[in-house]
Amino acid sequence: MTRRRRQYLLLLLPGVLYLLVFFVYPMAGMLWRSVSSPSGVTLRFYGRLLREPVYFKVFVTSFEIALEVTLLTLVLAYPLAYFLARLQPRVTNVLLVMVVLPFFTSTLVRTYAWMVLLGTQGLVNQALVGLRVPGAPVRLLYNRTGVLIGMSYVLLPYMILTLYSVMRGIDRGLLQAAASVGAGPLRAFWRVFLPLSLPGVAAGSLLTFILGLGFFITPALMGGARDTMIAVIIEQQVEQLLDWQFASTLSTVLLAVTAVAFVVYDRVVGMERLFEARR
Amino acid sequence: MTAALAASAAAPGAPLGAPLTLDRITKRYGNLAAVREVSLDVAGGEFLTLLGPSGSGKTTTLMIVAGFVDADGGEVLVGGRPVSAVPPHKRGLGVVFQHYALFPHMTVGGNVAFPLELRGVRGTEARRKVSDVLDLVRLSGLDGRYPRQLSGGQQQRVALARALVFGPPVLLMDEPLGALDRQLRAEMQLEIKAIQKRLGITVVYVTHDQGEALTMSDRIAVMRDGRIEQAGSPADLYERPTTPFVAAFLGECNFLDGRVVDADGRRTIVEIAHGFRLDAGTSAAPPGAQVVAAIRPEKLWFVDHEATKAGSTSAVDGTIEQVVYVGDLTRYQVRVAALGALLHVERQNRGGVRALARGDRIRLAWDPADVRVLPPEPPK
Repeated sequence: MTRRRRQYLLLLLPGVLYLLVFFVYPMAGMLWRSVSSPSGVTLRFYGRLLREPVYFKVFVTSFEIALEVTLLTLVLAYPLAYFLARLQPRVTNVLLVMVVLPFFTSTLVRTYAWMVLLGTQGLVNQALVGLRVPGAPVRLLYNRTGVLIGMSYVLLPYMILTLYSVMRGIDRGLLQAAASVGAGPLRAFWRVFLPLSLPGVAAGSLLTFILGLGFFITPALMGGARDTMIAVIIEQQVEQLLDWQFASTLSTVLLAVTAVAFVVYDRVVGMERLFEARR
Repeated sequence: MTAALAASAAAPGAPLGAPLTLDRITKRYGNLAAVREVSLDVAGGEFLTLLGPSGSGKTTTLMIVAGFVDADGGEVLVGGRPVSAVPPHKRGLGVVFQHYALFPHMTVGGNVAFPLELRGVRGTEARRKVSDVLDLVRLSGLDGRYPRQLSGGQQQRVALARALVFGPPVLLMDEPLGALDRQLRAEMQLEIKAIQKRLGITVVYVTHDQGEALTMSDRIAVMRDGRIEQAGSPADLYERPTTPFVAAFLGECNFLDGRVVDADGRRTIVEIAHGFRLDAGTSAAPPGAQVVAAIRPEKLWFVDHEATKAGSTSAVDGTIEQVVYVGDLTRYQVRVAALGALLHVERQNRGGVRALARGDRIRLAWDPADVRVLPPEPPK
């Protein structure tokens, strides 16, 4: 290695040190805790995970919610991203700032704001009652609906930004080309734009799914007993039951599941290059 | 196979290429008029080129015909039918875009079959048409490739195949060779021309390359500031330009400012600055009019000092100031004191011609009929 190369690598040192001390070391501790007992190495915690169906159920619920949130954000974000990608760049920039604006406030504050809006005495229900909507007030909080509303809201910007970045890269000339050979706007969208935007759909969905899988604040505050997600259970094990070893086991499994999703994500994002429009 | 393509595209007996008419097309962007009252008749099967510098409105005009830009005024007629109210996907015109705009997620075969699929042509018939048109553009056997796996020239051919496969009556081409290197360009020019002749299709071709326009076109319309400056056959435009702009845009030209002192309908006498009287060809300019006398570098020739007094030629003395050798010909810059001008002269490097050097005193001759009398450029 040349001296110059070594000097450049030195620049990585602070970051690497930080990660070793505050990420790799605790992570190793967590992994170790999930398989250790006073009498040596054990798989008893993993056995317990398999024996007690409640944990399996929580994982399934987490998957369900993450999937539902992903679909919901996709449906909400796709038309918006399409709209943004069609606008003049100057206008788009203003609107994109508005999309990321929520990131400037903490998730906790935003979740409490939703609770104010969605409660039985909340703004939404007051309006529904005022309009004499049958069945009002509706339960919008402490159930699946509340979790989905809250989580979709937090995760929406990730989906929008991912979709937008891919859509902006699609050559508009291709749609003109499609029209020139006889494709109406719908056909051109269906056969040209949509297929070319699929890498964005895949990337955005996986990102949203992975983030949604480990969500804590929103399901804890806005969900009911049946919407318990894995991160909530882990917190219970640590804070209330003081069972750090089982908490470590649950965390390890969540980490493994997320890692698998990441590998898939990487594969799909890699595919994006395959579809890149040539200019 | 090619005959089959042509036959399948046109109704029996009908010529394939439809006539195209632009009737006072106008397009404004804010205060800027991109296209001003452009009128043009393109005959069925004609190869017409819109030639002009960037910003002259040629691409906008083409996009109005394609339907991607809405004109503010005027009408476009394809085969006699007005199409202003027809959306682009229903106009049925073939378009080859500047950067090809091939669908990156479809194979070559998929790209070319797409127009057929949209017309409900499937199965064996579609496969036959795709392979016919790929034969035509000499890309047989590349159906399975993706556009990114092709060279620029090959992508160009795919774009052409995709625009031709459904047998459009008119083909619009927007600087289709702009991204190719010189040699490939020259090759493609002849090939596109040959395909056009074979299919009998009407082509409107946009380029800023005058050599390309001269090589390919039946007729050229030179555009400037959103107007057609002059339209005519390549030889017409080159030999008989009506404005200095056209003379300068197509090839090189010497310009001498002057004033008409005498005109008898067959020839014109133009007085150049310094009082020199120049014999020129016919002109409608009346005596007293300010004009520009134009003569091309290859219409000037060197003569022996003593010779040439008689006949229809004119001659002046000059000194060679610069010699540029470019292989098949040599370009000279000759200072002519009598005209107060530096003239560009081109001479073929034939066998037996004496090489001239910087500083040589020579005599220049020309045929007065080759001197064009043009109106002066309007002040900017």
